Amino acid sequence: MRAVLFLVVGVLATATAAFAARALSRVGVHQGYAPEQPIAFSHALHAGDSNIPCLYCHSGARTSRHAGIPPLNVCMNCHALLTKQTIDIEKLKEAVQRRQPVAWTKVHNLPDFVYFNHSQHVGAGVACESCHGAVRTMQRIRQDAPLTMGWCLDCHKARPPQMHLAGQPAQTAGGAHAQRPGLDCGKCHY
Amino acid sequence: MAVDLKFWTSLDALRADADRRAAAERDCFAGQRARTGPPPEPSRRDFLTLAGFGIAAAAASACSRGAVQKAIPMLSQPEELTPGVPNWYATTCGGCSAACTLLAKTRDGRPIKIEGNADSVVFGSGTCATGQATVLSLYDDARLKGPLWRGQPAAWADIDAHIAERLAAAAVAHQRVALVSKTIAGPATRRLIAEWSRRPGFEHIVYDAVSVAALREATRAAFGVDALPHYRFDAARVIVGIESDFLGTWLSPVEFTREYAMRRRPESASAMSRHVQFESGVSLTGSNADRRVVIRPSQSASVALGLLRRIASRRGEVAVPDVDESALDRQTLDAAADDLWRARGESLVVCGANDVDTQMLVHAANALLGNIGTTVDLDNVSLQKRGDDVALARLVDAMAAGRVGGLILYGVNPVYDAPAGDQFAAAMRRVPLTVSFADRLDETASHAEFVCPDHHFLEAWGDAEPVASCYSLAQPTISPLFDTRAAQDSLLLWLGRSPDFYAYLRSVWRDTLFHTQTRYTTFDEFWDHSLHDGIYAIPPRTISEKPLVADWRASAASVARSQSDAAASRDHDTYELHLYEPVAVRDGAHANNPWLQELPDPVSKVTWGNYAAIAPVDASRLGLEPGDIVALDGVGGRRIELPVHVQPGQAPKTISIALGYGRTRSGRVGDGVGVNVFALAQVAAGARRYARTGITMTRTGRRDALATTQSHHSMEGRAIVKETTLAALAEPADHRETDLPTLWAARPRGEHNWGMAIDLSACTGCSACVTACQAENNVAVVGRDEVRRGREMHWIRIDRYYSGSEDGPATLVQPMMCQHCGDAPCEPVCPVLATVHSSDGLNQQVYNRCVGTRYCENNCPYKVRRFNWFEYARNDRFDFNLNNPLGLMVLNPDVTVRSRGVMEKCSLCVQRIQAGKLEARRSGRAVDDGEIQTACQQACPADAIVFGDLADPGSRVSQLNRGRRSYHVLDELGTRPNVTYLTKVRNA
Repeated sequence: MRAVLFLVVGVLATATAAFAARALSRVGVHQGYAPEQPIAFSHALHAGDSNIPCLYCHSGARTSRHAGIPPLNVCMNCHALLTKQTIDIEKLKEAVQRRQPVAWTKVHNLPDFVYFNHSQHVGAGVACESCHGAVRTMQRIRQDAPLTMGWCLDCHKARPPQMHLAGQPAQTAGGAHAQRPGLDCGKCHY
Repeated sequence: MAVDLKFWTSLDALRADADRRAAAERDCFAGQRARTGPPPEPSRRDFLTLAGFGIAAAAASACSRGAVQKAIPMLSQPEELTPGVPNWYATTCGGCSAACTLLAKTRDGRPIKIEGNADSVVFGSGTCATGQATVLSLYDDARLKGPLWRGQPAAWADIDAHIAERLAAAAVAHQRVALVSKTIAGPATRRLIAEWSRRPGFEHIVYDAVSVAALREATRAAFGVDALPHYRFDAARVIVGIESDFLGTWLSPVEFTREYAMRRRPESASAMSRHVQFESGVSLTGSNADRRVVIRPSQSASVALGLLRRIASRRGEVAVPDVDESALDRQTLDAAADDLWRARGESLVVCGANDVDTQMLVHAANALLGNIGTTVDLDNVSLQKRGDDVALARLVDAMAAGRVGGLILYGVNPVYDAPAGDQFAAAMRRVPLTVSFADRLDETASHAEFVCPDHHFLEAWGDAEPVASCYSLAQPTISPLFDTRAAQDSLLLWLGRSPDFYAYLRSVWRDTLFHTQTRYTTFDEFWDHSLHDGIYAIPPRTISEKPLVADWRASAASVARSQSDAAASRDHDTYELHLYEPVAVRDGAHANNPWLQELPDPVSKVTWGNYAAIAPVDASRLGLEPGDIVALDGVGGRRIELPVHVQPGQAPKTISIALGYGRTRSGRVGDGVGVNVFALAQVAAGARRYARTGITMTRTGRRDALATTQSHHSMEGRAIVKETTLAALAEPADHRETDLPTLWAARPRGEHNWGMAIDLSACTGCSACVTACQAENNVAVVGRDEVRRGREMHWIRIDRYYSGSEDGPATLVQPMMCQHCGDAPCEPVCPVLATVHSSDGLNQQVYNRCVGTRYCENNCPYKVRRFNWFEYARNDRFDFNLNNPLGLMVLNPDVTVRSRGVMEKCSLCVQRIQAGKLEARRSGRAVDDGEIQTACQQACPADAIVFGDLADPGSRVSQLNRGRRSYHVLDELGTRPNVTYLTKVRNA
């Protein structure tokens, strides 16, 4: 009798543990996060149909660790001249007139103890889509990739250790057994 | 199989025992039930064991949502501002009167780090600890948020109207209006005050909290130059300092440290200098001297006269007054005079005593040595302190007599730091119009009717001329945080002019400086370039050998007389008091800055308060232990109570006490810390004296343990700090360290191997690196109680060791931070691999992996790892800069703020290394040597710290590593540190 009881409990416990392990490993992972934004900006329309390059609005990605959300003067570069009017464009113009910056909801959040530098990756030739997914098709922006450390390392392990810029030869990392600098903990955690 | 002998008293007992044992074999809980009885059904333990984990898992999985974060871009982003990319602005420091040139690093529109301006030929790229900490004083929540009238918030328009009315009334009644200001460093503000001086009845009095008025007066009398001499320590082969802390706080410490350190390296082209210091308390400067001679403060004049007599006799001068030298060490005076004479023309005598006669003797000594024109520049003078002690005393009398109609206080706090502060407060009440530009409701501003808070220097326009012909500009690095107004704007407005000091500043530079150069043809070009560079220097005047115009024999006779009087009346049971400006809080203006309060004093290593430093022989005679509170009497009717600090090397029968403490209106952090001893600086012969005789010291029986960071001063026979003499260095010797065998396999090498070399000959112990590191790496302040427990968080510390006798020890300092050991003892013991070695030689600390076992801290032989015992940010228990939204603005966004339970340590500024590598990669080149500078290296005014790539044999750090003076600390442990130290060399 006790043996049966222990068997059932054991199966339940294993199932619970497996479920818990899977659930716990998803804590802090927000893949698929697509929050509602104060202005229903459509990347499908701007980046897709209008074919505006990512770096036109998110210019920080070229030189800074933050890609940045474009300040309203970038939006108004076009919208000050366009006659098209929708509720969302109305909201944009209202924000500009009231001198009130728009409080967007941040979609791609990394924890405070992670340092990620956009310019390093953009400069190394990593395409925006490889991490952010098919943004040109997204009506509402969502987090396409898990953005977990393991997912970052998949790429860091696969690519060669040194990137090169502007046609310069790649600097070798000192021998076959050299540790790939991309895998040092202190590269991203400091 | 052991036989279990059991003793039984009856068969029943035996049988019951047998039953119990049988039951235990079947039921694992039976044994427990036998002891404690059957558990209630169902047992909590069973339930939790089976279901607890499942519940936790379910709860955790339901809690996978984080807090929603907002991303708010700017409305209209200026072209030059990219979020995440720092902008640098050249400005001038307002932390003290030295007015060093700075570069302020701003991120997202706010300054977060101060660095020196490397283009300055006067100050160089270094700063002092106080300068580094000024970025935090910008974010001080004790600052006034707006103007006050009678202690209540008021509108600027109302206040201006009232003040204009009162000023007009004072003019009509022919009453004086006095402006009491700190030394005005710059030509534009000076011109503005000159315009005010055209108003009848206006008087400008310059008041320095710590006065050197006697030096200026003596320079005027001796050479006809009404300014402070500009000392050139880099031209001096022999330096004799008499009670002068020129490396710590006297006149221009950053400049002097830089010049002094240039001549402390035996390898440098210029011959190594020799420094002899005569002093009572152990100052930062004295601790660096090749020879330190202990004197009492009252003997400074005799020392000056003794040196002068010997030099004069070598010059063949006659009629030199005699002085009784029985109380002095004649041998050291002879040796010092010999050194000075042999290096005549390249020697320097400086004295910190605020006494005109003594300074006359020092001027005469320098003149007879031919130093005027080489180490003493009287043509390009120092304008850094122009205070007038006599004028302030006269003003206080006039105020008390009701003869002053208006008083404006600009950058001064005389109620706190004037000798008769209480008198000043009382006298203020007799003045109909009192205005203060103070940034907070300080001790003096609380007595002022109108408080019109000035901007912080990082928010303001300004200019400076610390040394004649060397000009610098100050510009805002952030929009004013509060409703403050530049003092100059207020002064312009009350003159009836437009309150636009920016325009006024430009007009002054256009009128006076634009035409001194020919490089730029339009003023706007000149202005833009000067503002960008921060500095503008016109060709200096040729340094001439100005002759001595006064007869120093009169001063000599006066000194000889007063010395014999003092000797005759000396009460051998009393002590002499010596007051000094400490390196951290300086004159008390920065008392509310937690970084400076927690900065250990370079010599005593005491934080959070001042103390009475006494000699070991006095302590043992009175049975005093460190921390015992003593009462000092004979200080003009006041009784001062302070804890005692036993200072090896302190002159017997003297007590040294730091100024700058005991504030009551500085803010939450500074109030009540220490005791205010400014009132003990008596005024004699028109000058404030920072020494007194006739003090008695008695035990009170109470104790107040000092918060000291180093109480163990011995190296315990290990060669932690190596010292040698210049002579010994010349001898050929094998300095190589033995290469110990290691059990570890060779670590794979990466592209770089970051390391550091610290020159102990150049390092003075000023601790600028400590504050720079704190600013750069978001290091927390823990407060007095935690420092008592040894839990200060500084990543770099300056260890100070004594060697020799207790009464006259040599002092050795050593900056100590994580050594980034090749075979680090901390790495293999971490159970979660939170500390690992990088491919480029760094020992990394990964905060998010750390679980806080503290095994790494235990294993570190250098004890450089710091543990976060508490949450230091946003915690009311640690109500310092990290507990309010304003103070949080100083944080460096590139460095994680550590939470409770996590270990931290020096990372060799890995964020700067990464940034440097990225910059080089963007330009498609390798990292240049010297391109990446750690915060400590950048801040060091002595250039004692060198960071670089040990994998590059041509880098400066590699060369120093191979040099004959290099050694590693505790290398006998086989840690293979990447930090090298260069043996300290004394020119004994």
